[in-house]
Amino acid sequence: MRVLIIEDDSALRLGLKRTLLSEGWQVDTVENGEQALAATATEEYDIAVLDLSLPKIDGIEVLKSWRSKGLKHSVLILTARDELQDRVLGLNSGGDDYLTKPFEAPELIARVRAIVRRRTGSMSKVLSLGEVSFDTESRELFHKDLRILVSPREATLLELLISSPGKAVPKSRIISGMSSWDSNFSANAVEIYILKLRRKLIDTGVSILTVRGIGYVLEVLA
Amino acid sequence: MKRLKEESLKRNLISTFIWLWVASALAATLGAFWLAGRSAQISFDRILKDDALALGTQIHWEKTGPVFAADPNTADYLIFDSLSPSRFTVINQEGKKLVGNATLELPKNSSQQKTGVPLFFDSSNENGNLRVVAIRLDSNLSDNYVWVIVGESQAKRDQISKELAAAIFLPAIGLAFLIVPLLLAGIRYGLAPANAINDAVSKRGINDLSPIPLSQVPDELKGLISHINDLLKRVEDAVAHERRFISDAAHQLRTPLAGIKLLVDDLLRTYQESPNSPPDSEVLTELSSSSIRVTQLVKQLLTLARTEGVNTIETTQIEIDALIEALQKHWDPIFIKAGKGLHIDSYFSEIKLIKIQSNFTLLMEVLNNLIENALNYGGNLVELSATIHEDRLFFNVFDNGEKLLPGDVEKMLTPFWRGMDSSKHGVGLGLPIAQKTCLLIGAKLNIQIGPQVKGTLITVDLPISNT
Repeated sequence: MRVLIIEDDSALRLGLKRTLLSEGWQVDTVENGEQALAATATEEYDIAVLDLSLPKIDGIEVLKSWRSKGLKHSVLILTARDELQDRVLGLNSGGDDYLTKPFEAPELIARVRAIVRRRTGSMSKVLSLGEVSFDTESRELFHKDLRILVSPREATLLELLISSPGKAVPKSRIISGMSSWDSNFSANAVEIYILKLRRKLIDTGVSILTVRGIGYVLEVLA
Repeated sequence: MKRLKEESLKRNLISTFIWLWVASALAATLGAFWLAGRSAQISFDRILKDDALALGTQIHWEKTGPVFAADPNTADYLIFDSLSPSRFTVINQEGKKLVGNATLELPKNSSQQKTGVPLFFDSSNENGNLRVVAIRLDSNLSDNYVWVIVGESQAKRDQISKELAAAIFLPAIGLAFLIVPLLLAGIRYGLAPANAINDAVSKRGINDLSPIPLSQVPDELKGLISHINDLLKRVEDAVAHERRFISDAAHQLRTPLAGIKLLVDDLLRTYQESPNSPPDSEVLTELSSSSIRVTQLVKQLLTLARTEGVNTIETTQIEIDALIEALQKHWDPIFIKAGKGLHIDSYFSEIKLIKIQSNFTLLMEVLNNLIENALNYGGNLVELSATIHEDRLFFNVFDNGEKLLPGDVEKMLTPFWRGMDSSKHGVGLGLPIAQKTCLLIGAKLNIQIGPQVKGTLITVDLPISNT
């Protein structure tokens, strides 16, 4: 999952980034509204963690701009203003949830997960296909009750594929989901991780198939 | 202990009106009684005089002297009174009684009484208290004259007085029973709009600062209610300003605290995962700078809080020399470390002996905040200069930073405003603190930006105490 953090306070920005990185997500950070609009103009994100009080362009304006342009990524609003009218304004402007500063890291992570689950329509933290299941919180892969060790990047790739079972996930989407500005992924790198994951899924009853010209699909073997 | 009587508009009006009414009613009835009594006395006296003149017509002047022509019965008919029997005597100039049904004496001053002019007097004899009239009638033929004296009982007049008193005082007392309730109803009706306003204001919640509608307010109270509405508006503005300030202060404190919390949690997590690895230097650096920002913010919030509610401050004579030396000592190393320049105008050496009457600590607070503001938000050069005009000294803090918009001057004095680039150092409280502190020391803060001035020029205007 790829996350964009928009926060002008450098300490909080770094804290958010490290907290979300520890979950195995790809994280980009910007410090004002102008940079946020520029980032979303060129990159695709699953969720944005947006501070409302931003220099140059206010957070609410950024949010409205995203929604007016049809950008549908989830938005978790971060703000120190906890008055009702602020919360209502943020949610009415297109925010998915609201978190008041200061907050605990587990609450931040839980809210990000909940928003993404709502967005993808999945109500369970465990995504399953055939005899394979993937816990999106602990980021662990299981075949029946047997745990299969996967690296954070393999987990991210698996999450992308198992979130759309039976449907081809475009290679560009995979590249975007596994990249951040700190670590840019290439198409070759994606193929390497596909290969690694295929090996780990042998004898599990599911496999990653290549859809030529499009991307990859996770399917149950007949 | 003497208990103060509570003021009540209704009570005051009732007592004032009642006492006024009682006093005026009493004066009116007494006056009416006196006038009616006097009028009755005059009428009775006139009748008494007419009786005496009627008797006088019966005097015939013969050569031998005066003769009373009528018989005694006719004389009684001439002065008949149904209420009380009248008494009369006719005496000649020697005092000999010619006719009469009683003996009536002349008063001592009767000798000077002119002819035909009635002399009224009160007399008391065996017939009781009498009102008497005496008229001297002269002869046309000789120097002879007679006195016709007629008296009537005072009881008749007392009876008339009692009847007059009953006729005047009883209706007045009866009127009181009608007037007092009408007066009370009138006062209640007159005070109804004021009571309605009082009830409406009493029923308002303690936090209701909306203006009181003036449509139902009587003209006499409109000035008062308008003034209260003005005060309510000012209180509402002050509360909104306070709420906004607290909200801003909370935001300014919560944000770095949230960052510190996440970074500390991150350090703990990485330590638990690999206890032997050194902590991430980026995290430590951010923690350090964030802690400094929070410390600075708390310090400035406390400074701002200290300036609230202070009315009097101690002042001393401050030498410019000492002030500049303290500023240079504090700021030179900071500017060197920041790679910026602080230029202090040579004019200060010329005016170093000038003294200003102010508070050294607070004046330093103002200048320190202005210089810090210029350092954080200005360009690479900050200039501190002074000018003297008449009996005023002007400290000028100029920076060659980015050109601001005219509307930014007001924003610069708004707490927590940090320009469009909040990544810069500072918490946005320096100028509001400087402005409030200037008010405390009787100085004025003036900000100039725009076409005339490149960068920002902030001036502190102070009175010179002694040159």
